Formats: sequence, C-alpha cells, structure tokens
Amino acid sequence: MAVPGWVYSLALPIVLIAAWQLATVGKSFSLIPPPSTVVLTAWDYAFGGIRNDAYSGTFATNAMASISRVFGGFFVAMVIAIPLGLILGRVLVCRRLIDPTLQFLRPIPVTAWLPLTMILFGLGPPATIALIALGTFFPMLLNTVDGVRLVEPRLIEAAEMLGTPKAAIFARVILPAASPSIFTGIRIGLGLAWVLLVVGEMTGVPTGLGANIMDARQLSRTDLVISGMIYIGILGFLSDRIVMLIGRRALWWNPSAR
Amino acid sequence: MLAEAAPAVTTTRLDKTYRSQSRDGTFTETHALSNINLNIAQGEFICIIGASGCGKSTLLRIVAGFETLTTGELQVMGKTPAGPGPDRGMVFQDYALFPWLSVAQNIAYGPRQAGLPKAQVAELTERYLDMVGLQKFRDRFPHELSGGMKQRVAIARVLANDPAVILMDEPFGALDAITRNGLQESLLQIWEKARKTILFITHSVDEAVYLADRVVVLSPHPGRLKLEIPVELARPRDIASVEFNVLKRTLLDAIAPDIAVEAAALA
Repeated sequence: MAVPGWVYSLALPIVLIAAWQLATVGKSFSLIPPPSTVVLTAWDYAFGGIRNDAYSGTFATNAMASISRVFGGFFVAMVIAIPLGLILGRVLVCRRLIDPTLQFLRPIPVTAWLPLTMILFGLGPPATIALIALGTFFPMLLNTVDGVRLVEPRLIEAAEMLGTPKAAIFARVILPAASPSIFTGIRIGLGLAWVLLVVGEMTGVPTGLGANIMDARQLSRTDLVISGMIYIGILGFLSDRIVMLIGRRALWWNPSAR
Repeated sequence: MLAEAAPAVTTTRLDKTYRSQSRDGTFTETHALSNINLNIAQGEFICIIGASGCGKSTLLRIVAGFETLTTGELQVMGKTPAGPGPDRGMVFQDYALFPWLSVAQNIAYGPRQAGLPKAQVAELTERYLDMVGLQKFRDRFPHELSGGMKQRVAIARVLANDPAVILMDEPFGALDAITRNGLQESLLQIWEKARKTILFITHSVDEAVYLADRVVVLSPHPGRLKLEIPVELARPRDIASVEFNVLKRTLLDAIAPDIAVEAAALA
C-alpha cells in the first residue's frame, strides 16, 4: 500500500476542480468561468496566441514587476527588522523604549496604511514596496527578538567557562543559537510578502500580477483574476521552497528545520 | 601522590546571601551559604552531597564564576578568579553542548577560543575524542546523540581546555542507571589518566562513595558544612562490600534529618 505522497497532495485539488467544472460549464451567464476557460486564459496570459487581447503574453513582464516588489519589500524589511531585533532582544533599555510603540503599530492592517503610504511615497512601485515591507517587518522583527531573548542562558555560561571573550559571545553563541527563530521569521515574512502583493499593487502601479487582478476585476474578466491568483500561488510556493532549501543547508544542525 | 603542592581550590569563610526584591518593593534575603571552609588538593576527587536547598549548586556556581560570593574568599590555584574562565571547566546536568557544532567542533571549541594553532587544536580534539570513546561519532550533531554520549562530549570539551578544576553539577542525574554506571567508570578512568581536580555534585550517596576521595555533606538553610569524610577504599570499589555500606550508612545518617525536615515541610 505504498501510495506516493504526491497522490495525496493532488487528490483534493482534482476533486475541487472537477466540482468547479461541473458547476460552471455550459452556463453562459455564470459569473465564474469554468476551469477549462481559466486554463486557456492562463496559457494565453503566459504565452499569447489564443485571445490576443491586452493581457496576452504579458505574464513574464508582470511577474517580473511583482517579483521585484515582493523581494524588494521583503529585503527592505529584513535589513531593518533583523538588526533591530538583535538589538531589542539583547538590550533591555531599547526594548523598553521601542517595544510598546511597536506593539501598538503591529495590529494595524496593511490595507489601512494604503492611503498614507500613497501620500508619503506617491503613486507607483515605491509605495508598493513600502506596503510589503511594512507588512513583513513585524513577523521578522518579533521572531528575531524572541530568538535572541530565548537563547538558553546555559549556552552562554558554557561559552564563558570555555574561555569565549565577552565581546565574542554575541557572534559565537547568541547569533547561531537564535538563527532558527530568525529563519522562521524570514520564512513567514516572505510568505506574507506574496499575500500582500495585491494590496500593495493597489497603489496605482500599471504592471504586476496584483495590478492585473484589480484591472481584470473592473473588466469583469474573472478568468484572468483566477489566472493571476494561480500564478501568485505558484510563485509564492516556489519562493518558499527556495528559502526552505537555503534554511536546511544553513541550519542543518537544527532538527526542527527538517 | 604529588608532594603538598598548593591547593587547587580553597574557600575561606565563604558566605552567600541572595537579595531579591518582591513586587511590593520589599527585599527578601536568602542566606544560601554560610561560613564554607574547604580545602581541595590538586588531583583530588571531591563529591558534595546534601538535601535540596543546601546550596551545593550555588557553591559550584560561585567557584565557576557564574555567581559572586557575598563575603569570604575563594582561591583557585592560589588566585582569586574574576568571573568564569577556562581554568574551571563546568559539566552541566543538561549538557549545554552547542547544537550547531559537531561533536569534534564542540570539543575543539575551547582550544580555539584560547587561540591555539590549528594543528594543536586538531591534536587535542583527537586525543579527547579517543579518551571519551566518541571517534565514530565525531561528525554527528548533539541532537543525534543519546544523553550519555552528550555528557561524554561535555566532559571531553572541558578536558580539551586543560582546566585546573573540573566542576560537575549532578552530571549524571538525568541518565538511566546503566548509562550512569558506564559514565562513572569512564570518568574514573579519565580522572586517573588526566589527574584533574574534580568537584562533583550529586544527590546520590552511592555515587559519592563510589567516586570520591572525600565526601562533603552540606546541610540546608543556610547551606553549611556538616561533615567531611575521606573515602579510603581502593578502586574499583565494591558497592556491596561492608566497608562501602558502613560509609554509606554514616552519610545517610548525616543527611537524614535534613530530608526529614524537607518531607515535613512538604507534608
């Protein structure tokens, strides 16, 4: 009874797609197109040659625009969140100064920041990157702070009694001990960056998968909306896989990273 | 035996009081150790036992430099240590190995901190891998090892620093009886080879009589010296022998009232 794992993984999508096809096919006034139509649109969006409309064959351009914003926002957030988290985790005074403000800002939804961001950064990609950075900042920061704070005091004592210079404890013990938690923050952050893409591209950018989805909605092109959703899902999945692979190599010693 | 060299560790009228502030702002003082006078010779194997709250771990942590004494004096090899250092190696009950380093890297860690040349670090690593019998596991990571193996790595890691004193805080307390016996044997062999001073804390009277040259009994609230008995039985010791059990009886009698007080407090 050795059923491969991918059989299990594909069972649910196949059932759902079949149900979707049965419920929508042949109904000319259905607001939701059948999967067969979506597949054609998705193909046309990627390679063109079927519908020959404004979106035919534009996937690569739009995807590149979105990928650059997702990773742009993610990297901006990462280079601020991780150093700040390392400081907040180690220095009580800084934590007392900054933590209450951060806890107050944290529950504000990224969507609510949209108008302010557009005022501050104008229409276009910088606002998108800012929104994605804002949303991915907190999980990376909090995981870094926790990772540093929750380092086993025993490990620091062990390092001390083995002769580690005081100034080197941070680099040789705290940083490696906190790295699994920091990595978890990075993974959650990058995942969120994709989640925030559509909101991020509501800032009046002309290109991008999220922008295409919002435009397609105005045009009642639900087939295109769904195509965009599928592509975002695939790209998000792939980027998570890549981060996982990097993490497994860097944190090979950590049993929970497997 | 070496001629009367300088003692490895001496404590003179050592006193420790913890001061903690409670929520209402009042201070509570806990007298953890009172007037501890100990004189430990180089190469001596000392076991410290006592009921919980007798301050045995505190005493060890003060010698290690993780905690400060309140009054009195501590000397290690004739000097007053300032904070923790590689001359006092500690073996913790929960191992405290670096999970991101392999067995060999954990052992090499101390010599690397000391800035020894690469060849010498490698040589020390090999020597202590051999001594604790973990050559085959040199590239494994701590999470892949059993508790007994982890504790062997922890012992090797400390030995590689060539410390003046090895401090062991109930090191075998979390291990099953068979693993514990194996490690006790190994520790004695290592001790006989390396001739290190060992300060070993245990709550097991059997373990103390089996291992030590001298057993020190502490009594709680505040922790103070109650009894010191030399164990002059030849090694390997027969835990079923009359002499062994006579010593064991004496030690159990010394601890019994403290345990009775503890039991009454819990009842």
